[in-house]
Amino acid sequence: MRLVETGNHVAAWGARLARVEVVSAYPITPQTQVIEEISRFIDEGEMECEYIPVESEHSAMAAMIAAAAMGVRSFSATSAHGLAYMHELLHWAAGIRLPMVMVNVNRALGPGWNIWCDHQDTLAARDTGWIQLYCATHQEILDTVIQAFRISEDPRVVLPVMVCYDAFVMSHTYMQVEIPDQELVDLFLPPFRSLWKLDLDYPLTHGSVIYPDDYEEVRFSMHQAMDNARRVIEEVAEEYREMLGSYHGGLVDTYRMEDADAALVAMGALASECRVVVDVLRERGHRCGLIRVRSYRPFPVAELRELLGSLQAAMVIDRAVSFGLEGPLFSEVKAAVYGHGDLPIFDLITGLGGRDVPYELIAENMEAALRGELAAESRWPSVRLNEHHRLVKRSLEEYWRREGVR
Amino acid sequence: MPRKRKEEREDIGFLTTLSVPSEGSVGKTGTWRTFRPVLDRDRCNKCLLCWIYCPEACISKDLEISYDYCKGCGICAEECPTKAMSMVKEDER
Amino acid sequence: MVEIRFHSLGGQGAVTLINLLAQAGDLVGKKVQAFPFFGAERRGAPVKSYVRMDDKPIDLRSQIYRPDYLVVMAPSLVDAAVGEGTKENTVLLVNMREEEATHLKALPFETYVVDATSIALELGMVVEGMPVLNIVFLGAVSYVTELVPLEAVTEVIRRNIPPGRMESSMEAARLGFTSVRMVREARIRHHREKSAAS
Repeated sequence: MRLVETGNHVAAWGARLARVEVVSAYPITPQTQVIEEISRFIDEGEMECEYIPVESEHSAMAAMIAAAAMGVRSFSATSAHGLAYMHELLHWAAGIRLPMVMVNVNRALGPGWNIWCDHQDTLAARDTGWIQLYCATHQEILDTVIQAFRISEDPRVVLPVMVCYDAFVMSHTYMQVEIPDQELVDLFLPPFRSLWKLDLDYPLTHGSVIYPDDYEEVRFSMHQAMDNARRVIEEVAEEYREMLGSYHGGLVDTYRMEDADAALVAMGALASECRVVVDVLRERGHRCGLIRVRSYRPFPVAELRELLGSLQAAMVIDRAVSFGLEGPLFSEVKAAVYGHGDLPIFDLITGLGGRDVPYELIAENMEAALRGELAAESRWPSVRLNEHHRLVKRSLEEYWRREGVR
Repeated sequence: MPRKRKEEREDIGFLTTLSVPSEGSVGKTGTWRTFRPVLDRDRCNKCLLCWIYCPEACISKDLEISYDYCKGCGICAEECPTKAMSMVKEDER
Repeated sequence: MVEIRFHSLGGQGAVTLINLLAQAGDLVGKKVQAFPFFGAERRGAPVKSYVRMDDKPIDLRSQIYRPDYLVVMAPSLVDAAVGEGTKENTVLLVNMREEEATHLKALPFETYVVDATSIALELGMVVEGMPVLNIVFLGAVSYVTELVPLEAVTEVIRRNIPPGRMESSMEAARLGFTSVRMVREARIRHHREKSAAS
């Protein structure tokens, strides 16, 4: 069945096809449509699922933890401030090794209050122990939600998975999606069997105190599980392709890299836009390709070394900033190839807070980099002082004069 | 400089912070005790406050005290309204 | 690829319009993409929406600055809409009566008008005092762009519109399709074949 739907409704379809048993979530723009659609599915008897309305995202994740600890397949969705509010519990869910899947619609953090897309929210949750997968198409949202349960529940992994896609650019955009048959999804994703669960006949405490003698082993076990997830993500994507037909890459997805001598590296919908940049640059005589980072955690270190190893230049697009350093994806791409050649790597920090990124902007900067006109560092190519900024500055200066502040 | 070979890491598998109900995961904590609680059953009114307050669940509902695990913290004696529980120095029994 | 930018006012129904247009495109085998720019929408505030259609998958995600078609659903938005960017052979479709279109004739575009407000009022398509123009425009866009035939439009209406409003919606689409008037001819005559094929 083919639908023309918003990215958010597609995510809800993913949860429905995965036969999610508990959904606990709190509405926040731009995620709201996900849980509205799930509520409708439940109300109309399309989904056999307990929907837990909560009073905050902190509670949403607490209820998810409880549900997953009962051995139940659990799903949530949030965005930006919601993700920040549940941050502590993200650590709890991962630390006690509970499989679950949560969609995060990537939105900028305030202030200034901003409902539009960037990746600051999920990148700030990088070290919580959650696997993070970033989507670039509607079909990928659907397929990744289903795949995420297989990855999360795999006994070699047993970590929660965040499925990320861009606010509005994907969440509220209507595009086509193929909805696979439920029977096929059921074959791909059997019912959830947890490694442990809360059981009155076999009482357990989870998340209890552990002493310095034990803590490092528990963290090391999480780190190894993340390592194992590299293989599992690839296997699951391959198996999905065999059984259901569609494929969006493993840890990375590449475009025209076969004969490339320069590459763009990006995540999310901007990576889709970058395919256009690659085509344009090739028409202008540059052998350029695209590496789309699909899995940010675990990070595709070996893949990047392999792909970037023979190139002459790479440019990273960051839709976030690590204040006081540079673009976070830029840092990590550089770290991945450290000690493996001396490839110059450039970085564009752009598209923050929903700033539209026309493909020409990326193409121009890539060409400048290839001509040797840019330094291998982070640039903010779309920052401009406009009339509004000048008005704010004038008003402040007026205030300072009046109050004798400066 | 020659590159060192990557260290082979031990696979420690699935480890998490679960605990199962058991007696004294750090051994018999009764050996830590300096003062031991002693109950005078004649003064005891069976209010069970000592049973409720004991942080290590060492006092049963029948008011039997597990000296293997009682650390001698003295909370039972502090809470006892009839002064039936008293703390006695270990070497003065 | 064909790109369309819509300028409307909150309440006129543009988000439903682009959704239905995308569904119609899907029915005739196009790859489609439709998205509104979500701002501080209130009833009556200007809204921009975008539709792309192509024969191959659409990778572009940015807004549309050089549209093949510029659709203006409120006459007060014409200047702002043109100011957002056009190209040499952009085709303009405006909600306006033919006799009011003097100003439009001065613009350098192939230009069409449709009196969508009157059609909506005539059919009683009013929600809380505001004429809802989306279905009329669905018909008009079908006529002007030739991207989707009227049969595809009526099919998506059948699939999406509740029975109580079905008849008036069908009529609105038909009237939208048949009431479009050209008020200024193309400077470059061959562009439509070209843009539909590319």
